[in-house]
Amino acid sequence: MQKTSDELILFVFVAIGIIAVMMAFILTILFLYRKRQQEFEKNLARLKLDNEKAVLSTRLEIQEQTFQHISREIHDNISLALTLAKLNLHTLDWDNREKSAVKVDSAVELLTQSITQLNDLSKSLDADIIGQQGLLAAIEEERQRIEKIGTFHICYSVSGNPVYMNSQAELVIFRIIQEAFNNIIKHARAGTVSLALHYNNRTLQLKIEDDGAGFDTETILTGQHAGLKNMEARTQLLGGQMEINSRPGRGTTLNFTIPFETP
Amino acid sequence: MQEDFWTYLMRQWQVFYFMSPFVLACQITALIICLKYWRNDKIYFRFFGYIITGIILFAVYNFAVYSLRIGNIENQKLPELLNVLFLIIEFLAFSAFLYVILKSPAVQAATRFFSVLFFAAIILLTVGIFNPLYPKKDTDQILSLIGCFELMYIGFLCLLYFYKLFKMPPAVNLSKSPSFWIISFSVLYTIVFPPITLLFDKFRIENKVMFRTIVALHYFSLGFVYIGITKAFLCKKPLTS
Repeated sequence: MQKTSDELILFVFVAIGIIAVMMAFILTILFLYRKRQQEFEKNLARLKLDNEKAVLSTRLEIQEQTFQHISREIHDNISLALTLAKLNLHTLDWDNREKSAVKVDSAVELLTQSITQLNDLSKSLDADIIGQQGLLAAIEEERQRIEKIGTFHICYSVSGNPVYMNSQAELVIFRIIQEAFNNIIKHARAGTVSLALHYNNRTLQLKIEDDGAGFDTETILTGQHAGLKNMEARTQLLGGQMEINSRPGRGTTLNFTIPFETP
Repeated sequence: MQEDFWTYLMRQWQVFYFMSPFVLACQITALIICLKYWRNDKIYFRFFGYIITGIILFAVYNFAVYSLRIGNIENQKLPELLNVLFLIIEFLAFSAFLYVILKSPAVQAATRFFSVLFFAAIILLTVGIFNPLYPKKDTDQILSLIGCFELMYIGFLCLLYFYKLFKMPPAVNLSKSPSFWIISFSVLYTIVFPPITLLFDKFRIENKVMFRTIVALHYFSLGFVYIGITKAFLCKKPLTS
């Protein structure tokens, strides 16, 4: 009897030990995992916050660039034309009709030029066409506007099955293309520009190629070149990638890969 | 005076400190909970219900044959073959479950390799069972050896699960993860007891006290495996979450 109860006590003790070990093991795993999970969530929240700050900073930077662009356009072109028109009207000689007529015609021409430039500036900033007719229609209109200036010829092509992306994303893509064209106008002295959009299963491949002056990518990218930085920032906003290929005297090719689903 | 059935049953159960009914109760509880949440989950979670049903029937058969001495088993191979079948089902159930949970090419390759070895051993054992040259004692020992290695392999996979748990991003709510509960409650049984079961015969002859205690503890920790499965069913989530 004593022996049986000793055996039973031994069994009970070992059984309690097994339960204790098992519970300790499970609780330890749960505790350590929970701790790791909290660390992970904290890091995730921090990354998310950093990302949001980066996105906000990029948006503000882009906004600032746009304001600078408007300011430059007004100062360099429109303001100058209006000043000249004013000067012409201010210096009218009412005794000399012929000379005055020439000056008035010149002032009218300058005013017309200013109105056209203001209209063009307004149109280029107006995003309504994106919302109403989509990206491709906006690009076509921009192409026509630039070709009318006569700076270079644009070969425009679209392949694949066009996908409607949300208006915000299409607007950003449109601004990238505008920025690229602005850079070509200002720096490249190109004769022909090729603009190709290819829609595949999940991404839009955008290629802008010119036969202009080209540049040394290493020098340009380490400098403060707002246009390229702007395009890069806009591409990153969409979760896409930008690739620049250029050599002095060999033209420039910009390749963009933009996912349909923006992050 | 011939004792009645219940007295006999109590006496049988008392040998191992009532751990046999404890395991049976855990199995029946697991089965009831499984049936209650039968519609909640995909097919590979339900397979535990079939396994537990089979195990209960197998336990009842074993009890009838070995404890109640129903049927003449002296020259029959059926009990041994059922033991082999039970081993196969246990191996297939747990290795398939861990194969799906671990999702690692290395583990899957290792499981395929071990499966080949396991089934080769089972075939040899089955041949041995039908071969009159091999006494039952030898085939029982080989069966225990195969069972031991099978459980140790499953135990190794269970430990690998915990290793992977802390390597991967902690995206899972562990307290609601069915696989966590099944593996946590199984890891002690699959790692500690397999080598000890090889010593059962030795203890049965040399140290009956130790034999009773170890067998009882063996049943005790086996019961926890079914408690783990019950808890897994209560999570009401797919097995791979």
